[in-house]
Amino acid sequence: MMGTASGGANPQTEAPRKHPDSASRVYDGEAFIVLPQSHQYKILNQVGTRVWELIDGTRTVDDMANIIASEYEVSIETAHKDVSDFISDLKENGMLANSDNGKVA
Amino acid sequence: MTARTTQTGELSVEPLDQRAEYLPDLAFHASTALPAGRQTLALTVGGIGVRLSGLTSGQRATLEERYGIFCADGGAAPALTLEITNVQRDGFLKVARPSEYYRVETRWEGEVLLACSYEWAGWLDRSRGRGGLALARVTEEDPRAFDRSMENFLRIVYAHAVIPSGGFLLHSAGLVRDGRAYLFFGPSGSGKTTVTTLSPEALVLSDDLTMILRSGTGEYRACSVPFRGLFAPRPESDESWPVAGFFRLIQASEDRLEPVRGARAIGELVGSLPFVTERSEIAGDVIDTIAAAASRVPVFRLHFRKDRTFWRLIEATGGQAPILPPVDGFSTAGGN
Repeated sequence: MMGTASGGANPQTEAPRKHPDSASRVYDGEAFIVLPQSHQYKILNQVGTRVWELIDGTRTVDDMANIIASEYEVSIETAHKDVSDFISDLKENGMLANSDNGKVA
Repeated sequence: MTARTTQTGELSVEPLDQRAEYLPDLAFHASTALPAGRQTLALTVGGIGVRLSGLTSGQRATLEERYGIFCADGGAAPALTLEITNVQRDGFLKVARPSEYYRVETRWEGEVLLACSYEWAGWLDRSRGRGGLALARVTEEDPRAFDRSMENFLRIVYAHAVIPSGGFLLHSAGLVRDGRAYLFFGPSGSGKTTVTTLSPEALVLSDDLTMILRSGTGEYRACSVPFRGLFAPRPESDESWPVAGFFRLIQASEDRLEPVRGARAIGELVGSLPFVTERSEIAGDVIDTIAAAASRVPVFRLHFRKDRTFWRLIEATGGQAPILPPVDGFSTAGGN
């Protein structure tokens, strides 16, 4: 649904937060994210964009998966896996900060 | 390292090791306040005036020869003043490997942009309209080193100076046909020089770097910049032309024109912007700038063979590809 990546977040406790240096805009339902420090940018599809919008440092992976499951009519299990993989992918690309201490993940 | 002024007024810098890479901070530039000379030169590119001060007579003559029509007293009032200084250093960055592409390092100290390369180090405080360029010894002895240093710093200066007005510099070949500018962009090797060579009937704004301007009415226009490397011919015109389209070059076995919209169009263009996405606070403004341009001017991926048949595809759009709806509904999703 949103692309896959190995590894997973702790879905019950981890509340991902966007990297403080990231800049992003949503256009026609797709997010465009720039990470200046590493000269990277990323374009997200509509579901990925919705997850990106939900990332606020308070919602856990479980919270976001539940929202995605209800909005996109997919099973809870599928939504959990996809959101978890997607969060891992964002983390690996340096787009997220650590939710606990604000350090870069 | 330490810096001091000698009795003759020259700045003497005593680095711990001249062989080491050195990325100067603002304190270094503050200590290199002595100008190389007393000459000034007004440079106007895309209506943006930059006043160079502290030049020697020789440096001024070199720049006038190089930048030609872009050097015009009585042009735009300077938005920026840059002071040129000579420093007693061999250089700043070191060539890490023989095949290294010309390297420029940038970082920020508060609101001030610091940039440096092998033979120069500069700073730019856009909010105060000031900046400076410290030139290493080699630029006094080697005219090419002086040209290279000035040009690379001025590229950075103009890349940042044009953003507030809604314009941008784009790594692109800019070709004018029938009064409209076509911007062909992409990384090195994508075919910018090829499309230029294949279009002898076109007025060439540049085969590498073009300035995009936004007028008060929201129209996008393209113009030449005088920065062209050491060997390309000097632009003959500083006029601007309405932009017909942005074309991301992709070499292929057959010609195909693929419209790109939304975040993907923004992504294609942002990938060909020099320098200005290096800081998150500015990157957000840059995305907005590019999104606004992509909402008014069509963006395509141009899959093309190395012949001029691609122009037929472009002509088939009537040079008037459909204008997309204006930008609205952005949601700011970045930051904290």
